[in-house]
Amino acid sequence: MALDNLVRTSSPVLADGTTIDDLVDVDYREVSLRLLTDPEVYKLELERIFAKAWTVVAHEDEIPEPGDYVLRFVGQDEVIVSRAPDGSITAVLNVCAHRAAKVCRYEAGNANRFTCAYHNWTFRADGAFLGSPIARETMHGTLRPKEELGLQPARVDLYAGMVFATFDREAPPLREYLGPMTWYWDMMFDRSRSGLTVLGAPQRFSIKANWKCAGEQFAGDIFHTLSLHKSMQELQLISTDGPVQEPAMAGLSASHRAHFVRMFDLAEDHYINALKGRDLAALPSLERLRLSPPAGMTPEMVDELAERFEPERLKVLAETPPQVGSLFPNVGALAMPFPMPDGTVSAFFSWRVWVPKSPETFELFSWTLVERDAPQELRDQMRIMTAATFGTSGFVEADDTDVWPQMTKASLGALGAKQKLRYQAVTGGETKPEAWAGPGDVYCGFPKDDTQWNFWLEYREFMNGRAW
Amino acid sequence: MTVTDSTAPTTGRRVRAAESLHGEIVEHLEDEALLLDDNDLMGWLQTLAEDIVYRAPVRVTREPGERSQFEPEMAHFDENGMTLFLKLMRMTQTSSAWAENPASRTRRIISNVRVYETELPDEYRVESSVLLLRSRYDDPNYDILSGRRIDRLRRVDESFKLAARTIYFDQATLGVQNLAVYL
Repeated sequence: MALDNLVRTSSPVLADGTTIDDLVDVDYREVSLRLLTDPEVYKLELERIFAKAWTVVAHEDEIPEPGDYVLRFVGQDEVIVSRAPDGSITAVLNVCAHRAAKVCRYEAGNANRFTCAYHNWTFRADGAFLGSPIARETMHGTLRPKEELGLQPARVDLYAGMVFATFDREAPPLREYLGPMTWYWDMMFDRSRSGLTVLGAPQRFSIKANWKCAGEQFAGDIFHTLSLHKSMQELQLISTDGPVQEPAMAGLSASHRAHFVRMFDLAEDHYINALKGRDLAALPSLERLRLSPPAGMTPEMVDELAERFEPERLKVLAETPPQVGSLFPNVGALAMPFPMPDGTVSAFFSWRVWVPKSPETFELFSWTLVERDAPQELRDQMRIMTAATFGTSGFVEADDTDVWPQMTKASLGALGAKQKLRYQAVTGGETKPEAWAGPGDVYCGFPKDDTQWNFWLEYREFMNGRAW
Repeated sequence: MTVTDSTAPTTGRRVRAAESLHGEIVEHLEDEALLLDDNDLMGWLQTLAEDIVYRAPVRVTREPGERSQFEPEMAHFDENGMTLFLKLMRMTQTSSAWAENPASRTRRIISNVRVYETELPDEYRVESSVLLLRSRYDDPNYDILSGRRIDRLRRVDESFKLAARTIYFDQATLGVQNLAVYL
């Protein structure tokens, strides 16, 4: 038992004697590129990260009625996410307990039981084994009771309408896993009476890159907007007519373990046109919010914010709203106002997961969200702007998905594998402003490497068996 | 088949292959494909109507006989005239559209064309199958996309403008890193 515990919590040793600790250099804040695609590392990630951490599998509105289900992934494991008759949501492994065929062959539908096509073993949506055919022959034998022949269930919980799942019975409750991040994330995703809904099933597309390329970027790489996404400046979508020539870089980042959120400073006078030339200091939070509503809200919806948030958070929403974030290990989210060339302010609004498929491939699932009671015009605008900027055809993300495969390919070379991802540009310890009301580790100012480095520290904890 | 079920043709008369109009429309589709193959995006823009609606709905594998496999709202492409213009300007007028810098080499094979008259005298419903091959950098493997397109083609003077296009991809998960090219 003691030995088992030791093995579980020590840094795993790869076939050539290298440990995970060897590949995450804490002194220099460098990560060996080998970590991206080493097949041994990948297998460990599936066991030590994806079989443990909470991850997003669906939005509750995708399965509104009892019996509704969708197929999704927890790591590389396919799960059936179903709405139970009592309204709760279940998730079970889509692997027949008999001979491992899929008991559910469709990506979405409605069913109160699943019968495997291979030998007709039948299961309830919550995984309970109901029986095998030709009852008189007891084709499931007598060695194991029926209770042991069910589909493996995951734990399920919801945050802001998103359905999270984990297969680890020892994982803390979801709220505890998210910790103080919800103080910030509520302002993006749990801010209205009606709550958010999704426009439908997510976009799914396949990228020849390791999942961590997206994971580490979404953990705080705001800086790359200036270079990789420079076309947004060239098109004047992000104005550069202010005194500072680095638009959208002022603000704060907060993190809890490796969960991340970025707040953008709207006082930067060239960021939001609606605020230009105003005496912002004299404007109460709600008035500012009506001039420049949070992504996906109309000025009329702003009053609801006062019902849900205390003055401290209203001030944050008005002055430095959270707009992009990630949840370890593979969840990202965006809630960002976006100006159009004709001057109208729209927004992109998305939750996404990077699902590992192999050391060198991941699949991006991308949902578009809107307020449930959004007027049709706003709903259409969000639908079009989110698709135009992020996801399969989004012109912003298209630049990212061209770079991630380059990083992945580089890691396959003998020399490339020894190269480093570097995180040396840190703010230097926490720089939480005195008046800042928000929790977590807070880094104020230009977005540096702090929170991305936190991603790797947390990655190392999970890989070393110290998830909880 | 779900594509035609979910987008049932108008009751308009089918324009037969032997009619010169059919040949004119096929010629237009082939010319359009060549503009895109040649990466002449400004040339392509000239063939689009200002009020264009250009979509590729998300596909979900559902039980046989269930409702359409295509999501009504969620789409891979969801463009109007403004977003398409913005994206084409980015590709042609900026120096940092890295998704297509260097540009992919692409080939579009258009076939199985059917043309129908519509309720509007100058608009036609045009169905076609498309196969897109995309080669990027020195990768010897192609990105391959196939699908059925349902277009609204509008007669303007001696030529046509694309007023609407819906692309029904055959894949539920697109095997491409992005859709920075058009079909």
